[in-house]
Amino acid sequence: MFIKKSYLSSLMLLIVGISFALGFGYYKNAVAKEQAAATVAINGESIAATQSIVFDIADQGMPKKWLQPNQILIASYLIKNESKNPLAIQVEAVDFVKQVVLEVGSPDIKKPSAIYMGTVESGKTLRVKVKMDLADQHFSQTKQQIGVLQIVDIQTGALLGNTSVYAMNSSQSLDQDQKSVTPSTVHETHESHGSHEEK
Amino acid sequence: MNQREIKRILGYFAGLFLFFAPFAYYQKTLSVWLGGSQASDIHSFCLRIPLLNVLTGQSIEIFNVGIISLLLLVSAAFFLGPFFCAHLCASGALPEYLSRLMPKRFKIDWQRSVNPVPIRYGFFVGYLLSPFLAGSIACALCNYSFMERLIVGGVQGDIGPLGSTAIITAILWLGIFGVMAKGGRGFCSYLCPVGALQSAVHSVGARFRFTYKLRFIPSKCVNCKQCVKKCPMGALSHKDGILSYEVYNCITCGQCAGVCAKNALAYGTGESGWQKENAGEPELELVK
Ligand code: SF4
Ligand code: SF4
Repeated sequence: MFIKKSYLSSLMLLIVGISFALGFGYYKNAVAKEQAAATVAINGESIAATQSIVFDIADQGMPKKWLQPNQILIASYLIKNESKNPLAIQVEAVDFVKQVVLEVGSPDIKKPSAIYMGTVESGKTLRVKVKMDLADQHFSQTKQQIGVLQIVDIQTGALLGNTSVYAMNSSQSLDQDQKSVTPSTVHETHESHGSHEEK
Repeated sequence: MNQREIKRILGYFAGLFLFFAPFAYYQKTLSVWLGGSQASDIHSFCLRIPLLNVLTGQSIEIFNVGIISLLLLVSAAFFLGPFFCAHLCASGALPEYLSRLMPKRFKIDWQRSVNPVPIRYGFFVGYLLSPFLAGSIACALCNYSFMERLIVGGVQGDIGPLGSTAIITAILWLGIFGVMAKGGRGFCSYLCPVGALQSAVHSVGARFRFTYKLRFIPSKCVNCKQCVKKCPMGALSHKDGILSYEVYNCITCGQCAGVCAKNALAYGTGESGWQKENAGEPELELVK
């Protein structure tokens, strides 16, 4: 039946429309932690002290949990050149056991790879999107390293920055961990990649 | 398939290559012309973002792809109707064509059940208010963005990580309001601010003789209701021998005119022929 017959119903539908848009805005904020962001300031000389990135699977919204919990995104990995010169850098995703790609700029016909090379002008910031897949061991309650993002000076080979990326599932009980997850020892060794604080 | 239909499909394919990454030839060309190296994907074109930027004072830059596109879109809507929706928007077209694959008995006639106009414009208002109250939803409930993911995913072989909001968008756009909906354009009818803006501008433009609009010649109409069945937006309805037209929800795709054997409907300049335009009066019936 057409609900086209009264101003009142139109007004109610108008309010429904407004509320839906605003409600969705709040929902977007509520699930914002599904994606991560981090900034690394590089100076071309020493290694930048960077924070690590931790994804908690428990922060995922229901649709994501149901349909695609094992693919995650660092929506903006920002690399800021604080030196006085342009820096030719290589950003590389290392030690990731599953697929990882680094995307800069708009999507291209060719699928990006786990390595990006480019130049960052002095004072400018490069935005890298990091898309990665999780393995089974990343769904355990304890923090597991997924891999490390390294920034290397192409000319000198010096390490300018690195960021460890972890995943955990705080809603998973330790009992479940023992049943379903093969304990990973690999991640312990990754701690040597540099000092990083928890985000 | 008739010639009109083939032209429509070609138009949507052109839109796909013009506006969506990895192609985005429109944005790339305009960026080169503007002398900048702006990103070339749907976000740099998206009319939702410049609208919000102007509103929130984040950008009053006139010469960027977004603002120029917004001006073109609004002008086209004034003179030609929602031209972009009717001929170029691949994200509006995809669910429409998908819904044709679904048997009629499984489809819901959303627009007949819930009047789209107040929701469409309520959503538009909410969308504009959202950056001030709830955080912008510009990319969170965006069928353009998801369409681009599908295209990039098709080309690169991987759709990549999806957020919860993107998944909800896909369910609404392609599912509940797409394949499951009569006409397949439920998302266009209820949740697309770009379409709402164009139809609102068109409702003003359509009042002038020199603009293009959907015209109606009542004396030729034989009440066969073919146009009502064909309209993917539910902008036409027929009751008690009266054909009603909802300009605020029409995309001027001309499909109704295409099926009208008596040529009672046509897209062109001149008087609209509808006795009254629906100027925000929810009860108005446009009597033939
Ligand atoms: S209403 Fe929106 S999604 Fe639909 S055709 Fe128009 S611009 Fe495209
Ligand atoms: S009324 Fe006609 S022109 Fe308008 S959306 Fe429906 S079919 Fe297209």
